[in-house]
Amino acid sequence: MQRYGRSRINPNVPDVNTDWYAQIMKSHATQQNHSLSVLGGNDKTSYSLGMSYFDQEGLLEAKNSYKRMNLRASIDHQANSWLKTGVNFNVSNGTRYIADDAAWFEAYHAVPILPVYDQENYNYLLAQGQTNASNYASAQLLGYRGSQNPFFPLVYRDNRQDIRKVLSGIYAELELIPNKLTFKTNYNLSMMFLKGRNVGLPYYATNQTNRLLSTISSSRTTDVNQFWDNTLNYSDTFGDHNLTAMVGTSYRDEWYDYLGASAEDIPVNENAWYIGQTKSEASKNADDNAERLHGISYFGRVSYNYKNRYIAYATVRVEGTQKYQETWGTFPAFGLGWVVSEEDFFPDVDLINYLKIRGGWGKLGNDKIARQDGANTTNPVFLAIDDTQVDGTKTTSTFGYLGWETVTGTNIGLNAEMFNNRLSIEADYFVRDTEDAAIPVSLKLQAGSVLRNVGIIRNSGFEMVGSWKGKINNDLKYTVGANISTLKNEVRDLYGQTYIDGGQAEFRQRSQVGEPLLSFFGYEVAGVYQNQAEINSDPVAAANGLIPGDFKFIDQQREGEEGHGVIDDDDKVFLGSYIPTLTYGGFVGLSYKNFEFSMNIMGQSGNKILNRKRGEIIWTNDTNFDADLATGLWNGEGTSNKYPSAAGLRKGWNQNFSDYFLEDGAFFRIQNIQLAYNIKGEKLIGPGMPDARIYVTAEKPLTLFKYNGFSPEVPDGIDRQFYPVPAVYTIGISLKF
Amino acid sequence: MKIKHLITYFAPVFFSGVLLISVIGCTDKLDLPFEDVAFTSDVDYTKGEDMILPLLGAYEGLYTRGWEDPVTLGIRGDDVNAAGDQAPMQEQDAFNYLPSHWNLNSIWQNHYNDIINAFTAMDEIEKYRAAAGNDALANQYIAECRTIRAYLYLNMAKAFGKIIVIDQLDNIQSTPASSKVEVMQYIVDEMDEVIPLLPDMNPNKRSDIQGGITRYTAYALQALAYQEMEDYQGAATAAAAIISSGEYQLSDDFYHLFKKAGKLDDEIILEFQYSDFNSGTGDRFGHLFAPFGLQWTPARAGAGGGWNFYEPTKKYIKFMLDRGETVRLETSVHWTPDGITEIQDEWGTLPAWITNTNREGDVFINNARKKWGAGKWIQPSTELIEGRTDPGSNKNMIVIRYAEILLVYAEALTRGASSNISMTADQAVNLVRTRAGLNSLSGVTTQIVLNEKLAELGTEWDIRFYDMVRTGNTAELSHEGKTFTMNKAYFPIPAPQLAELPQLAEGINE
Repeated sequence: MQRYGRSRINPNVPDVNTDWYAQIMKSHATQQNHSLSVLGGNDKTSYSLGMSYFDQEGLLEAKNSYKRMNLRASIDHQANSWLKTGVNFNVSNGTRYIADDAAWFEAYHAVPILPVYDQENYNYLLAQGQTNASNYASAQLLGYRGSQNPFFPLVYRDNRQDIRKVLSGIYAELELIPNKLTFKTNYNLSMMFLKGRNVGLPYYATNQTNRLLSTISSSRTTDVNQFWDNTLNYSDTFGDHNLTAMVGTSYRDEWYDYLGASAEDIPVNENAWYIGQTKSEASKNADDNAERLHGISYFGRVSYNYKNRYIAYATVRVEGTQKYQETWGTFPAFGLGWVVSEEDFFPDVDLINYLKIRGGWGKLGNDKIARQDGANTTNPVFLAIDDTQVDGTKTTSTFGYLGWETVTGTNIGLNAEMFNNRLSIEADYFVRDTEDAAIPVSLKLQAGSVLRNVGIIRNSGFEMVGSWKGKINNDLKYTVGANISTLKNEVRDLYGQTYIDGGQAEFRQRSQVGEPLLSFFGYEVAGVYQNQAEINSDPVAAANGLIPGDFKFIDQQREGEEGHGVIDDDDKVFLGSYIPTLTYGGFVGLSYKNFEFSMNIMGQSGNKILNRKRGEIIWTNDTNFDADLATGLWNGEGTSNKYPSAAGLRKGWNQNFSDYFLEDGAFFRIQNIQLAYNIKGEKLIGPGMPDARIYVTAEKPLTLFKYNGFSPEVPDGIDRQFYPVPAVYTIGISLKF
Repeated sequence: MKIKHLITYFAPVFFSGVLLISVIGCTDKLDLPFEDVAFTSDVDYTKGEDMILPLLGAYEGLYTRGWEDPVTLGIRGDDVNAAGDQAPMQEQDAFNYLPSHWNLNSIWQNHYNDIINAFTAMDEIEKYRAAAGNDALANQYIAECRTIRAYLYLNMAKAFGKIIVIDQLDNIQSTPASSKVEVMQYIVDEMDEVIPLLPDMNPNKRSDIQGGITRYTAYALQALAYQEMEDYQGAATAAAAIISSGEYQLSDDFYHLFKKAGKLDDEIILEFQYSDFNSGTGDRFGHLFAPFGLQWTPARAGAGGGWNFYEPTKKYIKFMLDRGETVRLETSVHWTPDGITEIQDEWGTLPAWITNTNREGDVFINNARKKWGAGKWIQPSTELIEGRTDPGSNKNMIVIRYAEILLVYAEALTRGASSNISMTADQAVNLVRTRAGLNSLSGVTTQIVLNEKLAELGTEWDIRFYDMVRTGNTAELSHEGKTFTMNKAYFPIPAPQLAELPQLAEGINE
C-alpha cells in the first residue's frame, strides 16, 4: 500500500485493480486462410494441384503466431484394362511462436492489487546497476510467495517451432475379374520433422523473480509412420441374391524419435541462440527418447442380400500389436437387416417411403491404451556423494501389463424415410460392454498407478437422428435436423475388487460396481454453519473446531446408526460423473435464391465438472479466484449457504473434497453460423467470369452455461483450463474458374 | 497371344497373392522389445563391480525427500510454527488433524516409495553377489538398505502410530498393520542383525560411499527406537556403543556445522547429501529448501529467499533468551525487524548482538508470513555457487548427529539405566553445553536433559515433539493458543491409504 497508494473505494487495499486477462490478451487477433487449387485430366488421367497459406495471430501480448504453407499434388492414372494407379504428395512448412501457457495460469490467479509495472522498483534496480533489470511488478514485493505477474513468462520467453510435414501415398488397383474381383494395395508414408527452440531471456525484478542466466532448450522430433493395406474384393449377383466378400491385411509401423539438448548462458542476439554458443560448458545437457510400435491386422467380410430386402453380414478381424503384452486379439461381428418397405405386403404410400429394421452384434479391439512396460525396468539415477556426481540404478517394483481391451456391442435400430422422403429418421438402442477394460490400479502404499485389464464397463443408450427437408417455393428451401442421444455408463465388474480409486487423492474419483466409471467421491455439503447456536448444537462442529462460515457436511448415518455424529470416510458418497447422460445437436439450413444460411447447435447435460481452479487454493492460498465465489462468500448469518467464509476457504475442513468443488456441466452452444451469397459469374457479369461465393462465418459465437469457468467443454471433467475459448469470425470468398 | 493372355490374367493374380501374403512375414516385428526401455532382465549381472549401483539407487531414494517431508514432520513441536499459506500444516501445528490433508498422504507415499525402493535394491544386490565374489561386501550393501528402510519406518511409525511393515512386496494387501511398539521392536531387531555387517567407522571415513551408512547409523536408529519404547537401558547401551567407538566428536563450530563447512563433519551420524557439484550451471542434486527460507536482501544478489513455511516459536526464542544462549540462538533463529520488536516488547531488551542480519551479511526483511526463520535450515546466500539461486542449493540436511545421541544417553542414565562405559550423564550434557559456550552442570536430572535437548536440537525434525509426547507433557506442547491432548500424538492414517488398505483402520491410534 505504501508502494501503490491507498484505494479510495476500499482503503484496506492498494489503489490498483488490474484486469489481468485484459492486460495479457489482445481484444482480437486475425487469422487468414488462402487456398488455390487446380483440377484437370482426361478419360485416363486426372490430377489435382493446390497450395494454401494459413496465417494466425495469437491472442496473447507476446510473440505468438502460426504461419504455414501447404503444397499438394495428386494424380490418378488408368494404365491399362486392369491396372489403375495413383500417387499423392502433400508437403507443409510452418513456423509457430508459442506463448507460455503458464501465463494463463498466472493471469487467472494473479491478485488484482498488483499492477503490471513497478517503476519504483525499476528505478531502484537501475540505480543499483542491476543487469537485465525488469520494470514488471512482482507480487513478492507485496509479501506474496510467487511473482504472480503473467508478463514474466510472456515477455522473457521465445518459444519457436518449425514444423515440416510430408504426407504421401501410392496405390494400385488391379481388376482380376472384370466387375467382380479387384485387388487394391495402398502404401502411405507420413513424416513429421519438428524443430523446437525454447529460449528463456534473462531478467531481474527481485531476488526471487529473476532469471540470471539465459537458457535454451533445442529439440528435434521425427515421426515416421508407414501404413500398408491390401484388400481383395469380390462382388457378384445370382438372380436376386447379391453377395460381396472381402479379405485383407494391414501393416502399421509408427516410429517416434526425439532428441533434445539444453544449455544456459547463451548470447542475447537471436542468431547466436545455439547450444554451442553457451559460455558454460557444464550446463550442456542432452536427452532423447523413442517409441516404435508395429501392428498387423487380417480381416474379412461377407455380406449378402436378397432382393435388397433381407440383408446379412459377418466380419472378423484378427489384430496383432506390439504395444500389448498379449499380442493378438480376434474380433468377430455380424448383423441382420430387413427392409420392410421392400416387402410386397407393404403399402406403397407417401407416409412411409422406406423402412429398415436392423440389428447387430460385434466385438472391437481398442488399440489406443497407453503402452505399459510389462516387466520390471532398471533405470539410471544420479546423486551426490561428497560433492561428486555418482551414478546408481533404481529398479521398479511393479509394472503395467496389458492385453486387448474388447468392446462387445449389441444394437438394434431402424432407418426410415417418411412423408415423400422429406423426413428421415435413424434410431438405435445400444449396449456396449468394455471387457478387460484397462483401468489404472493404484500402487499399494506408494504413489502412482499402472494399467491392468481389470474391469467390465457398460455403456448403453439410445440415439436418434432426424432431418426434415422442405420447400416453401422454388426460391425458398430449408432443412432442419436434430440428433439426441442418451448414455448410461456403469461399472459392471472389477474382477474381485470392490472399488478402484482414481483421480488425484485430494479430488478422489472412484470406480465401483454399479456406478459410472471414475465417479467423483466425497462429502455432500448440507450448507454453511450460519451462527454459533448451530455450531453448539452439532457435535461434528465441536469435534472439528468449526465456526460459522464453515461447511456443514451431510452425516450419512441416521441417529442410532453406527458412525452417526462424526464425519469420516463412511460419509463419503458418489457425487456424480463427468460423463454426460444426454447430448444433443441441431442443424438449420435455409436457401433463398442466391443466399444460403446455416446454423449448427449442440449441447449436453447430466455431467459434473470438477472446478479444479478453485481447488488450487489447497496448495497456494493467497491467489485470486473467480468472481462468483469472490462475491458469494459467506460473510455473516444468512449471506450464503453455498460458499464458506473467506477464512473458511483456507481451512482444511472446507478443502475436504465435496460437491462444493463440483458444478453442473450442462451447456448449450451455437457451434457455427454461416451466411453465404453465391454469384454465377457468367450470368451476372458476362461469359468467362468466375463463379464466386462470399461468406461470413461465426464459430462458437454463443455458449450458455452455469459453470464458473471459461468453457463447460472439459475433457474428463477436470477443469484446469485457464484460457478463454475464442469465438472465430471469418469472412471469405471462393472463386471457381 | 498365349503369353499375352498369361500376362493379362495371371500377372495381376500373382502379384495380388504375393502382396496379400507378404504381410504375414512381418509378424515377428510384433515380438520386438520396446524401444528406449531398459528391462531388468537385460541387466548384466556378471559385472561384479556394478553391485554398488542398486545401493546408490537406494541412497538416491533416501536423499530425495519431498519438500513437505521435513516440514510436516517438524511443525508440531512447541519449538516450531507452521507459517506461510499451507492450511493443512497450520491446522496440524494447532493439532487439528484431517485424514484428507494432502501432505499426510504425500509424506506417507514418499516414505513408502523409498522403503519399497530399498527392497528392490536388495534383490538387485543379491543378483550381483556371485559375480562380485565378495560375500561380506554384498552383505554390507544389503545391511545398508535395511538401515535406510529402518530409518524410513521409524519416521512413519512415530508420525502415524500404526503402519504396515512390509514382509513381501507382493503381499502388502494382506499384511496386518503393526503398532508403533511393534515397529520399534522390529527396528531394534533389524539393527541387531545388520550392525556386525556394516563398516566400523565414522561415515566420513568411508572411501566408497563417503557419508553413507555405518554401524553407528544403525546403533543410532536402535537407540532412538529404544527411546520411543521407553526402554532406556536399551537406548543407553546403543548410545554407549557410539560414544565408546571414538569415531565421533562434537564440531567446535556450532554455527558452521549447519552450513557448507559442516558437510560430512565428524559430529554427523546421518545426513542427506546435496550438491551443486562445484559448478554454477548444469546438473545439481538438491532438496527444495525454499519452504524454510525467509524474505531477505541477500548478500549475493539474486539468491532466492523462501516461502516462509517454518518458523521458530516465540516460546522457543524466549526459552533460549532466558537461558542466555548465544551461538545456539544465533544459529537456530533468524530475525526480521518486526520479530525483534515483538520479542523486545514481550521479553525485554535484547542482547545487542541480535540483529536482522546474519554473519554473512544477508538482511532479513519484514514479511506478513513470518517473523523468524529457522536458521539451521537456511543457507547463507554467500555459500551458493555463482550462478545458482535456489535457496539452500549445495546445503546438506543433517538427520542424526552425535549431540543428540549424547543427550539420549544422558537422559537414559538419569532414568536409571546403567552403562558399561565411564561417561556419566553430567559429562555427556556438559560436552554439549561446553561447545555452546555454557557453564558445566552437575547432578543433571531428566528435566535438565530434556531442556538441554530443546536448546541444542530445537527446530530439528520432530525431536522435541516426540520428547514431549513420550513424557506425556501435554502442558509444554499446549502453547501459544494451541491445545495438545495425548490423542493428538499421531497423525490420522491418510484417507486414501485407509481406502486401499482397510487393515490400517483396525484400532487406529489407540
